[in-house]
Amino acid sequence: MSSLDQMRKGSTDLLILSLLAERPMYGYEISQLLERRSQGYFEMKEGLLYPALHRMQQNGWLSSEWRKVEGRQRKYYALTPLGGEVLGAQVSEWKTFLEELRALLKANQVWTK
Amino acid sequence: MDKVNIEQVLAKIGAHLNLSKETEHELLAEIRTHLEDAVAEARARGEDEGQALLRAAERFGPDEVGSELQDVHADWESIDAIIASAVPVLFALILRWLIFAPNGSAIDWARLLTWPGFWIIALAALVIPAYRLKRWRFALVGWGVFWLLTVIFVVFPHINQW
Repeated sequence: MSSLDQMRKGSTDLLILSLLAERPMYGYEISQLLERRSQGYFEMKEGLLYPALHRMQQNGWLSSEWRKVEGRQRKYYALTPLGGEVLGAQVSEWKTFLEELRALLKANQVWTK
Repeated sequence: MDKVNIEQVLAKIGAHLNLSKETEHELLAEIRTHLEDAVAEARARGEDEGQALLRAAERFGPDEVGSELQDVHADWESIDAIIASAVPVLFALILRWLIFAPNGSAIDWARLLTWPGFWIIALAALVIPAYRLKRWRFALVGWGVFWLLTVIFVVFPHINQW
C-alpha cells in the first residue's frame, strides 16, 4: 500500500462522518458522492467502505435503518449524537495535524507557498 | 446472466462469513443492492452489464470485504450473545431469590404465579433480549434452563436440602 493509500485509509472515518452530517445516506450513495465531490481523488473502495460503516455503527457513531425508496430496499446510515461529537473531534485533530505539517514543511523550506 | 453473476459475487463474500443467519442475510442484502445500483448506473451510461458487474465486484474485492466484515461482526456477536444470555440469568435471580422468595425456598413458589410483578419481570426478561439483541435465542435457552431448574425444585423440594 502506498503512503497516499495509507493516508486515504486513515481519513476514511472522517470522510464518511462528514458526508453523513448532511443527511442519512446509503452505501452506494456515499461512495459515489465522495468520488464526485473530490473529482475522483478520494475513490473509496467498497471493500473499505462497508466494514468501516459497520464498525462505526457498532461504535455507536452511526445508526441505520432499511427504507423502501422508489420500490427498492436500501440501508440508510445516519449520524448519531455521539457520531457528531466524534466528527467534531476528528475535524479538530485533522486541522491541527495539517497546520502543524504545513508549518514544519515551510520551516524545512520544502513548502514553497 | 446478470443475476447469476451477482449471486456468484455474493457467494464468494458469503463464504468468508460465519455469523448468525440474520446478520449474514442483512450484510449480503446490502451488498446486493450496491451491486445492482452499480450495474443499473453503468447500464444507464450505455455500458455493458457484464463488464459493469465485473468492475463493481473488483472494487469490492469479495475476499477482502468478506473477511473484513467477518472480523467486524464476530466480536460484536460474541458480546451480543453473552449479554443475551446474562439478561435472563439476572432476571431469574431477581425473581427467585431477591424479590419473590426472600427465604430462598420453593415453598411459596405456587403463590408467586398470582403476583403481577412476577409476570412483568418474567416477560421483561424475554422481551428485552428479543427486542434489543440479535442473538435472542441465547436468551430463550437461558430462560428455559432457569425455568427447568425452578420446576425441578418445586417437584422435588427435598433437593433444596442437598
